[in-house]
Amino acid sequence: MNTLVFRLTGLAAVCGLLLGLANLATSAQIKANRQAFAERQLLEVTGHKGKIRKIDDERYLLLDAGQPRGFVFGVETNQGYNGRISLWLGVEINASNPSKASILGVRVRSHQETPGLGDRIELAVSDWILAFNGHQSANGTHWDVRKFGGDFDQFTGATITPRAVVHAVRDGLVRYEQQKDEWRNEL
Amino acid sequence: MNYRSIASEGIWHNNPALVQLLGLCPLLAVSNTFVNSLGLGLATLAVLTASNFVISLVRGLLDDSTRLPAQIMVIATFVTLADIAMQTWFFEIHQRIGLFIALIVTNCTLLGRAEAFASRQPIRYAIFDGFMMGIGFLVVILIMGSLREIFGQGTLFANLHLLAGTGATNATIRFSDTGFLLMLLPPGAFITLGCLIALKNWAGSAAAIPARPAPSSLDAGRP
Repeated sequence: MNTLVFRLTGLAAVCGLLLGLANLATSAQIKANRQAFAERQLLEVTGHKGKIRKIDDERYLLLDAGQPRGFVFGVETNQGYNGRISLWLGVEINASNPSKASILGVRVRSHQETPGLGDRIELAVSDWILAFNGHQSANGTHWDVRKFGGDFDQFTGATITPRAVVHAVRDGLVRYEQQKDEWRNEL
Repeated sequence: MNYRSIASEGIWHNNPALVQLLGLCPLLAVSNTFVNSLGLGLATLAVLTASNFVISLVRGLLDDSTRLPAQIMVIATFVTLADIAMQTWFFEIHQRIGLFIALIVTNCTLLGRAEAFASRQPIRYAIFDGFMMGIGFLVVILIMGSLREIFGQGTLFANLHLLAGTGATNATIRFSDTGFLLMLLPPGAFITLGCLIALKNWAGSAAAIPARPAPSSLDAGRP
């Protein structure tokens, strides 16, 4: 019996050693992959070519030749059809009117909306999400879907999902305008 | 016991997905596109071959009371290694199907082959059995992934570059801009698998049972 215990323990030790070595050999690469993946997503959201500086996991500063150009930050909503919709919202600081910001781009980070209906908020499925580009909070945009008198298309058979996204973007812009000075001071 | 019978067992007569009906959770959940299927199928193939090898290697060291925990430990180790390897080299595909890589450990094909085969057979047969069972699973999940992607979203090989590198960027074949949504949802997985099992049984029975003799004249007047 004792020998069996030793054998099992030995086998466990070998397995543990193997996993430890594998982790040691790859953890740096995995961390780099994760970082690169996140940055690629952020650059893709904004079309930004310059550098990105992290404020925290949810907020990033876009730098253009060392000067702040805009922000990318996370926005979430529970108003979707199924669970939480999480978005990246990229905004550009408006040079002539610094209190307002215009949208560089919006992308879905994660969602569980119905495939084939609500998932048209994904760029991979349809380019609906590009309709936000260039909108500002103050230039008379009606932040709703057309069915409710707004400026954005709903989907056939799915109004709740695009409406949730439109409202989340609007709320994100409002939050940005209220907090942007604090964000800059955090850097 | 020979290589030929092991191969035909794994791919056809005792196919893990169509005959043993093992590993259905990943089979149904991940087979929504070709590239997801390929990622999970290859990972399962690698883990199954490696775990069969090690379990056969240590079979002399264990008795009935320690065999099962040891097998699970070996399988869990290789699943974790596959998970780490995928995060290192195929990060984006791991972002899509990562959850199901970890769940390979619950794929009963692995424990089933470990217990029924690898723990009683010499190493070379165990490795070959793991490989052929893995191939059997891979073939089925690839067929399911292809069918569901074609009918569900009208494409084939979409996002293949995530696994095959940048050379496959334009590999996507587009049949139509819309698809039959049901095929991408869980019911599509059950329907596809059901059709494949029926097809397999039909093909198997057609080969096994000789054609019926023509009805004799005695039967002619009966209802």
